[in-house]
Amino acid sequence: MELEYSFCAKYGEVGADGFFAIIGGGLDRINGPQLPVVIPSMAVVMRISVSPEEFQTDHRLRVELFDSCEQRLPLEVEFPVPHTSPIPGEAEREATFSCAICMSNLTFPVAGDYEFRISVDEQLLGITPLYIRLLAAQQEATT
Amino acid sequence: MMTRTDPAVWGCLFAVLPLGLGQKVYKMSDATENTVSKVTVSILGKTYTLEELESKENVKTAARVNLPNDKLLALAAKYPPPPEWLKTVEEKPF
Repeated sequence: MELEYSFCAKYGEVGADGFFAIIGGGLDRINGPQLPVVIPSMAVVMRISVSPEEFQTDHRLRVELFDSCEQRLPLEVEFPVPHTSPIPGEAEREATFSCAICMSNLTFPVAGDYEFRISVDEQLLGITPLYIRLLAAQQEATT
Repeated sequence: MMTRTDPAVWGCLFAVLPLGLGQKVYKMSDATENTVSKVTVSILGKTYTLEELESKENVKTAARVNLPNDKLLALAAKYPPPPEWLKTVEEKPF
């Protein structure tokens, strides 16, 4: 499996036709007014390509949140990936699995760099970064 | 009697503030219990909780359904696209 892409958004969902519906896509930094910074709604949107050898077998997807000190925040997102099937007539072609993981009231205790680590079956596929900055610090820097 | 603007009050405040009293220093452990209040996963038009996705039936439902061509053609005949979608490239480039 390979992570084709992943990104943060304010909200995201995957429709029945497989297309994304995104609000506030491309979110990569958040200016919080105070600590802890609480994000009312946030989504990690991703598309994973699945090779024919991996069709119709069990896989588990896991998303973890780490800070810049390699400390893992207690965010447990793990679930079985729905079985992917070959496209009729194109058995050798890769299929894709898309999902949007929506989180409510995600709390960041300190400012700094964070990253969502996306892995399948304990194998790290990719990282989605997010930078949390205090609004006060930003104002001081501009004055 | 001291009032709100009493210099003695402000003096005490300015003496205390540099010591850092009254400021809360947040640690990672503060977020142990409430890093996130709710997590849902959107897959192919449906939204599941993590607990729901642990159920085999729900995972099966969430899997992409690849219909054979004859069923796709039957669906297309039953639900035809709006006429503007069928215009040629010259008439409607996008």
